[in-house]
Amino acid sequence: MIKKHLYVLKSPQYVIGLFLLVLVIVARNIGMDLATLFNDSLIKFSMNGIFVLSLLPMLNSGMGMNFGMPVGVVAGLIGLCIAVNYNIVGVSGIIVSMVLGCLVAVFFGIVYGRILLGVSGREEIAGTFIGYSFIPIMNFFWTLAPFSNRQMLYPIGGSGLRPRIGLNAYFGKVIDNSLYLSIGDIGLPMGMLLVYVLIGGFLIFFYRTSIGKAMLAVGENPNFAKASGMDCDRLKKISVCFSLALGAIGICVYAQSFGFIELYDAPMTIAFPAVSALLIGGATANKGTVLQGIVGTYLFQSIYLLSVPIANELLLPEVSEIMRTIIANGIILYALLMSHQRRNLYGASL
Amino acid sequence: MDQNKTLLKVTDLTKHYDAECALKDVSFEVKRGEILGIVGANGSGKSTLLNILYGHPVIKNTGGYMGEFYIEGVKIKQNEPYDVMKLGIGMVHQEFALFNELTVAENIKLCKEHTRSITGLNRYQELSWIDDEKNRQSAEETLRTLGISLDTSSKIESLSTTMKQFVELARALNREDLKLLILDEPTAMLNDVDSKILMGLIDKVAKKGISVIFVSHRLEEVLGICDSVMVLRDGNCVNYQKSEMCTLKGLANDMVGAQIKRSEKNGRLIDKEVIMKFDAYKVAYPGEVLEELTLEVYKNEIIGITSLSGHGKLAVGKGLMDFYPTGGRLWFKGENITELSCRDRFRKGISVLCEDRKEVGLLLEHSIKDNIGFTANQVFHQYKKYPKLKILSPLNQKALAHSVDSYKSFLDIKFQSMKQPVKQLSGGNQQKVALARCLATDPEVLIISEPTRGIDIAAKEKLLDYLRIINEKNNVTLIIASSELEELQRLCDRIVVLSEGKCQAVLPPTANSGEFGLALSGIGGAINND
Repeated sequence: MIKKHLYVLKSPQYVIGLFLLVLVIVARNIGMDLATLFNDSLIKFSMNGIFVLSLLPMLNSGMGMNFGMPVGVVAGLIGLCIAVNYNIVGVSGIIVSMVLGCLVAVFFGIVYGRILLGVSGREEIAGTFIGYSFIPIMNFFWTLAPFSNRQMLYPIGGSGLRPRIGLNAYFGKVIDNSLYLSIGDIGLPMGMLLVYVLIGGFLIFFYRTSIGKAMLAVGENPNFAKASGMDCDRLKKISVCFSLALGAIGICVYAQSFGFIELYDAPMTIAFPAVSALLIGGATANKGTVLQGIVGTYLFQSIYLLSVPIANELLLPEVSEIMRTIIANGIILYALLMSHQRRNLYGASL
Repeated sequence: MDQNKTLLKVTDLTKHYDAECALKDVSFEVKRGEILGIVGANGSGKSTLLNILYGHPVIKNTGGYMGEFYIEGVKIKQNEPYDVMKLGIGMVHQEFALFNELTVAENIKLCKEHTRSITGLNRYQELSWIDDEKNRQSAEETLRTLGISLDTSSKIESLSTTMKQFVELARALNREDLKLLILDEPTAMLNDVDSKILMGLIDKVAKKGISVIFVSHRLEEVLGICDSVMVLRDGNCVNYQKSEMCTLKGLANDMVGAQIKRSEKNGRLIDKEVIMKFDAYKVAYPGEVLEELTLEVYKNEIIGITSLSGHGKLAVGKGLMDFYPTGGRLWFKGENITELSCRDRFRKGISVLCEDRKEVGLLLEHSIKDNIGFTANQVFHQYKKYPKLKILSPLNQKALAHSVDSYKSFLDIKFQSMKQPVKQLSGGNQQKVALARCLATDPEVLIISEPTRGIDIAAKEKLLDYLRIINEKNNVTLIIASSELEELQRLCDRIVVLSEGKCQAVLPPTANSGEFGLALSGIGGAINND
């Protein structure tokens, strides 16, 4: 009888899980408050989770990891800035930012998708460079765009957006604080988790629909999809727009929790931790599931969260940033090596 | 030179690929300066024979071979192409093995370059300076003996197909110790005039005392230049004699084999109602180009398309799926469907199942259920739970499970659970799943390429029966492209034979093997539309 496992732990998850356990034990021994750490881990988890999920549509349509995530994030930032500019506060502020962000993301997605189709098979590297080159272009936009809210502009000169815009007067932590549940020392940010679950749930539902199945087919075997009369290019473009829109929602959720809109070069490397997290979760270079994204995000973000104070305590102060870089990029390399080995095994068995 | 001395002797050569026997007890010998022609249809063991002879790694990786080789009386063992080269055997491959970016001289002298010795050391030869001038002279010398004038400094990519073939030949000949030259379908890419020139060159080579093994499907050429001819069929040597003793018809007969079983469909009456029409249909499928097909397909008929490999039979299905550029016109029930997309053709009722089912026919990682329902769901909006949601509607798993069950019992597909990924099934069952996927779209015309490729014999028989049932009970018009002539003869009402991408003959299934053999080789055959 063939059993269908909902989720299978493989060696990467064991290794990372073990590492996390060691970190927890060390954290306890050096006298850190585990309850606070757990609360923080939940916040970090739901803050970053949507970025990880935003990789899935493109990954499952055979376009690889979306290293061009900054494009979607910038779309979300535009949405946020417009909401702040018109002084929309509270829950309506975050909703307006998300909706506007999604619209801009779809517009960007049409252009970005067209470029990616032109470099078919090398989407990941093209995406990386599109992300890198898009940010300086948008830097012009941030300095020149006609925003008028004084709180957002450089105090001196009065034109051009600040690199950091505080959100506390608008909709900072609105989702964080809604439906917040305290059980003793442990606090559950139910609002954040709810948003996360909604988006994850929508993705799961999406991959059960006709169009979702068609996208999976394009990702697994474009020839098959073509032979069944699918318009592969169109499906890929839709998945790019979808990925970018999720990226835009992701930055809205992230920014309200963080309390600041960070402009200019801030989104430059946003894709790498997300890609690492998805790969830790067990996604391969051409397929990933929502569950893998969730597990990966929690493992990865918790390690991030724990390793920083521990490294500062045990090693030199400020070593944490170096650790972060090594962890995030090392895991990408590890996962790429693993998937390459798998492919070789598969090739030999043919 | 002693013309009667045996150069190569092969005894009892046998090769198995897993359980399948590719070659069985083949023995032959080649004398000095003799040209041996090897003839055979697809899957007759020609390629296997050449691979063994040339030490292709695939042979070693699949368990080696049995039998013995002697060159000038000395027993040899081929491990790698390089070893074979050192023995004085040269090979000209069917597909060009030339480097486009290098010049003619560089290609000809590759791996045997003249070098300038500065230190006189024997070590580090691979680091020594290449003597371009000497290489050029040597290459020109070889080309001159072949009677070809060609600028040796021009790059391969700028040459015509014919010239490339000549350069290949020159590369094999450019060595003093050459004893045996193996030519694998050297004329396949050439037109008649150029083939004749090449034949002349081969003759010249043989006159110099070099033995030649010449593999071709063009029977006239083989009879024209070879001293003796060997015919392979299903791995057996069915005929091996001097070419003077052979006739064109005899060879064709041997090649196809007298395996006619009475067609069970013989004499079936078909209404001559045209359902689909190919009008000078062309498909640019690389390696399998269809040059021109004009054919009227009648309703409810089973029509077979056959050809040797590379002659266009598989291009029909690929062209209908828009995989490659096509030309000419297509008609379906009197309507011009040339411009329609693959999706719209599906909607009209034309379904295609390609020969490469793992690449095109199935989603291997997806479940059986997903595979069977896929096309019907995507193209015909079947199995939708809430049709009003259109593309966002989830699948109606119950209805889908119901149809999977019915296909399971109809086609006798064996699986444990319909949620099992298709890659876990055997080849025969995979093919049935792919077939069920096409049937789920309720087609009027079904085009199938190589329906029984990679399927064991028992499953093959059943699959052919199902095809007949589909045709009779479901009134599906079938167009079957296959290299298995015997299958087509059992199933089809008419068989189209293609040669060089053109329609050579339309034969009834009862035609004898000689007629098929000649038509396959591009010689005889009448267009018989009855």
